[in-house]
Amino acid sequence: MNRVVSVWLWSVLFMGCASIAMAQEPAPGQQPEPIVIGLDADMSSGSAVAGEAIRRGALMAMAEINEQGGLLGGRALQLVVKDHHGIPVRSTENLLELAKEKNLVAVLGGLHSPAIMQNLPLIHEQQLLLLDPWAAATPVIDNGYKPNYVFRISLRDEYVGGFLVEQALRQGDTKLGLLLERTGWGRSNEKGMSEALAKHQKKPAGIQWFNWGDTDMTAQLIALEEAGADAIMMVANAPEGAAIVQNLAKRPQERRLPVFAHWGITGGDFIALTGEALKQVRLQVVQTYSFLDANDAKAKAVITRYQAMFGTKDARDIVAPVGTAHAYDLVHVLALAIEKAGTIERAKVRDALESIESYDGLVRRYQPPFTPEWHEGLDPSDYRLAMFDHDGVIVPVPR
Amino acid sequence: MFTGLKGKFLAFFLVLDLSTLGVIVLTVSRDAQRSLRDEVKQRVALRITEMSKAIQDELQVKWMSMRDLAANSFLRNSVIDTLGRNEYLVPFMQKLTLPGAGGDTAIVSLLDFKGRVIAQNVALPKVAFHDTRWLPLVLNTGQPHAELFARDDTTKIVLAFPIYYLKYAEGVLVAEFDLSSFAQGYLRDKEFQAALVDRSWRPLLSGVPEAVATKLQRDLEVQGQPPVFLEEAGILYAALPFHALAGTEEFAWTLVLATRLQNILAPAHELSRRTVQIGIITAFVLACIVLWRMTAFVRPIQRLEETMRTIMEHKDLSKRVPVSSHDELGALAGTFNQMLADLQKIQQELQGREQTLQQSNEELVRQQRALQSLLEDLQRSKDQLQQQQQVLQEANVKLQQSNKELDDFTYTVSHDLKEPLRSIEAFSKFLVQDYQEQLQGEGKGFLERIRANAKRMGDLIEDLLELSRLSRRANQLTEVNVADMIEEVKQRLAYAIMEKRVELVVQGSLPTISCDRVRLTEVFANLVSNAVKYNDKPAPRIEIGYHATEQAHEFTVKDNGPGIPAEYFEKVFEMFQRLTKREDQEGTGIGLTIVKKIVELHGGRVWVESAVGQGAIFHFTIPKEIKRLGEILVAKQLISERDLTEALKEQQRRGGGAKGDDPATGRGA
Repeated sequence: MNRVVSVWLWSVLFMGCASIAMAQEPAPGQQPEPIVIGLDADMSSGSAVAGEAIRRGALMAMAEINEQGGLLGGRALQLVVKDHHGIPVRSTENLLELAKEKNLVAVLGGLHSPAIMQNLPLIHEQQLLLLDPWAAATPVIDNGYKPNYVFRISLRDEYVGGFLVEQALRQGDTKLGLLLERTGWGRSNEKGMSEALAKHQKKPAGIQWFNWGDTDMTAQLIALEEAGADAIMMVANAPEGAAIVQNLAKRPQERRLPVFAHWGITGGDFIALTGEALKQVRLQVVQTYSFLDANDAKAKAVITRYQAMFGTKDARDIVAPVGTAHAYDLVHVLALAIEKAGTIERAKVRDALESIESYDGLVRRYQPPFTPEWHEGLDPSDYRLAMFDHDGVIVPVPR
Repeated sequence: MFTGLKGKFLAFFLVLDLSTLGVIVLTVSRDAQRSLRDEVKQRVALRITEMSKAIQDELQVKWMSMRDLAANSFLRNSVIDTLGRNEYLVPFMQKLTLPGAGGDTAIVSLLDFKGRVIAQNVALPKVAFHDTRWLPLVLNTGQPHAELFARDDTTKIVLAFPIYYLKYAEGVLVAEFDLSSFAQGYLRDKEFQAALVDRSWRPLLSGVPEAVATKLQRDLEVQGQPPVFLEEAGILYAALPFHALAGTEEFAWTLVLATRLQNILAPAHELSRRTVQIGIITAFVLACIVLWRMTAFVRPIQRLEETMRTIMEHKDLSKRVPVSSHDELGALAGTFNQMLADLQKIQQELQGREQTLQQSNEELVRQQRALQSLLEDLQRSKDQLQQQQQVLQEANVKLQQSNKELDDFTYTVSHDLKEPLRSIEAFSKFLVQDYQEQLQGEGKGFLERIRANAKRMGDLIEDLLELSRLSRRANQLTEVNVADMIEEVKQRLAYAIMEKRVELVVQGSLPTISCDRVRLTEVFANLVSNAVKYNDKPAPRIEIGYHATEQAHEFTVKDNGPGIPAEYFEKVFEMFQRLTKREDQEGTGIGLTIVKKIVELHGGRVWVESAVGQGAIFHFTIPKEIKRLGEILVAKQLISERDLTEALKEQQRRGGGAKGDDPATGRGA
């Protein structure tokens, strides 16, 4: 699988490069060096869908840029993909390898916050400009490094907690049970959600943890039921999230609690894993963007490009849309920064990222995308709830 | 020493005992060795199987434990949760041990995909795994791995299990422990030395000498059924190949047990030694007992022998053997004493008898002398007897001569008497015929009386002649029909019968008998004649009867005449005896004498029964088997002659004068 993906990836890259070469028409005998963007994500494991979505978003943006002559006088953008399976230490290895890339300007991260959090020292040591299109843990950005080399266009758990708590409360669920994976991401959400509840003078009805790879969370579900929860705040990726839904579907209907889910579940093959069980469970998931209700020209162009590049026919076919949208916007913001910095020197590009005035992106108009103090491209106003329809397509819940 | 009975017994016993001991020691020792060897082999086989199984189980339980740990989501999560795991992983790992023997000594490490240690159950030193051969193997193949390696001269075992998240091995759980940590305990055995070797027979725990290893290896290849046994240089080896961990070549081990044959056979040797010791002691003790018992046993025999010797030397039968026991020897002594007593008694009796004999002898001599004189007397008597005999003989001859002379006399007299009588008769007849008218009453009566007496005289003479003939002649015996005989008698007496109107009846049938026909006819004639003659009844009746007895024919002649008084029952058969006056009756008085003579000549008997006035019955018998008539006749002859003589004398004494016989009988000389 891994091998197939990379062959396919490389062929796409080759085509991309070829088109850049044709557009640039470099001086005879001098081939401008490409500008390399790394992607370090789970490309083949439980959240490979997220990795692929990010890659597709990045590729589309790079294709657009390369089509327009590239950057810095014709240097094409080139994507180098690394697969870390969601495992932080694999990410370490990947980042070390990417750091050796001569023309590496930045690295796109994946779904997994721990993979980034684990490597913050390395990232800053190597001045690896890390652009985060998905991992939502608050400490990814609030990492204490100055200068901070991590920029994000994605959710921030601090706000996700608040958002989901607000949504749940609004829908009448007042006792919220937390069901979290035992990782940095889980703990980041425990914190965010607890704080959000605290703002309402509430505490979680219960906090339950699970391990990666756990398949039976019935005990945790019962614990939350017994703690009096009337809704579950679920922080899980696709494999474990699917297991929870499976377990939940087997609970008696009157005890089958509604779920307000973090979006980790959308990073994997959640639909296939849950199957019919998903229809038995009332599950709402936080999203930032949907191609399905995007009417602007940019979105339509991206959808068109998406279908062209990845052989799909409909916007509904765009999997894990947030990953694609965020990555797309991040690459464009990076491009602006590179141009602004006039170099691919990562420290300068980093600085430039903090000084872009605005960018009209797919998800929103970033104005500015980042500041020296604020590396979050989105804010809670971008958050929205979505549900899986009968085809498993994530459809936004009308605001 | 072994010459006496005691010695022989002792020697016999010792030979028996010691040879039995020898046989027991040999067979028991050999059998014991064999069965010990077999048993030890069985025990070794059992032990080696147990040991190998224990080792297998130990390894297996650790393997399973590691497998389960590696599959635990807690550890999996720990591989991923790099930032938070220290809080929970470290305490967990610190407490982590493997089950089974030596499990607490195992170093268990959780590794990341690069082989870096995430956590260990020991604080220090941390072992590096990144350069191990098996790490890429486990991560790439995703298969658990077990391997052996040597460090610090100890064999160590590594069990490595991949920790998966979905399809990737993201980490490895490794346990490292000494083989000895769990195996040593099982291999420690006070009886056996155990060695564990790998499949190339390299030592894992202790080693096996190379030569032995080579042979065991070869035997294992040849033999199908492990364990194989090998005896080499006084040591018994057993080898059992086994897979300490299934499916892993590296864990195809061989367990070798070794024990000194000496140790195995020690109990057998000990048994033999003990048997010999106890056997010898027992033999000695038993020999003493045998000696003691034999002394007691032999003593009565010795006493017996001494007593016998004393008796022989002193000829003293009064000696006795003391009887001290009730066994066979006591019985022997008792019997011997009894024998002595008997002998003594016999001796005394003999002495007594000797005296008696002496006396008898003397008596005998005396008697002999008496006998001698008696013999002489006898001789004298004999001589006298002979003389008397001679006298007798002479007298006999004289007697016979006189008898003959008497017979002749009788005959001659009768003949001679007949002539004058016939003259008297003839002249008296002439007188009657010629002078009848001349003679007057009385003269005529005298003449008649002369005639009658003359006739009577003739009858008498005829009967005497007949009687005399009876004595002289013997007729032949012939088969005679008695009925015919009676018929003849009837005819002969027809006149008399008719005259007296006698009814003569034969009762029943009459037999045919063997007899002197003429004489027996005479008997019937005499008896019937008498019955007719003496009957005084107006209707005389005579019955002739017969019945057979066992040995004789018995005939009866019964009449209804005057009968005979009882005192005449015998006398009637004597000569000239009559019941009536001679004058009243005719007859000679010799008839019944002739009857008796004839019947007796036949060996029969004649008798009469009667009562006066009621008739008489004459019985006579003729034996069915008549002895030789001649003998009887001869025997009777003497008597008859004597009787005749007597009768004649009697007749003469009475003075003659008989009236004469019945002329009707027709008897004549």
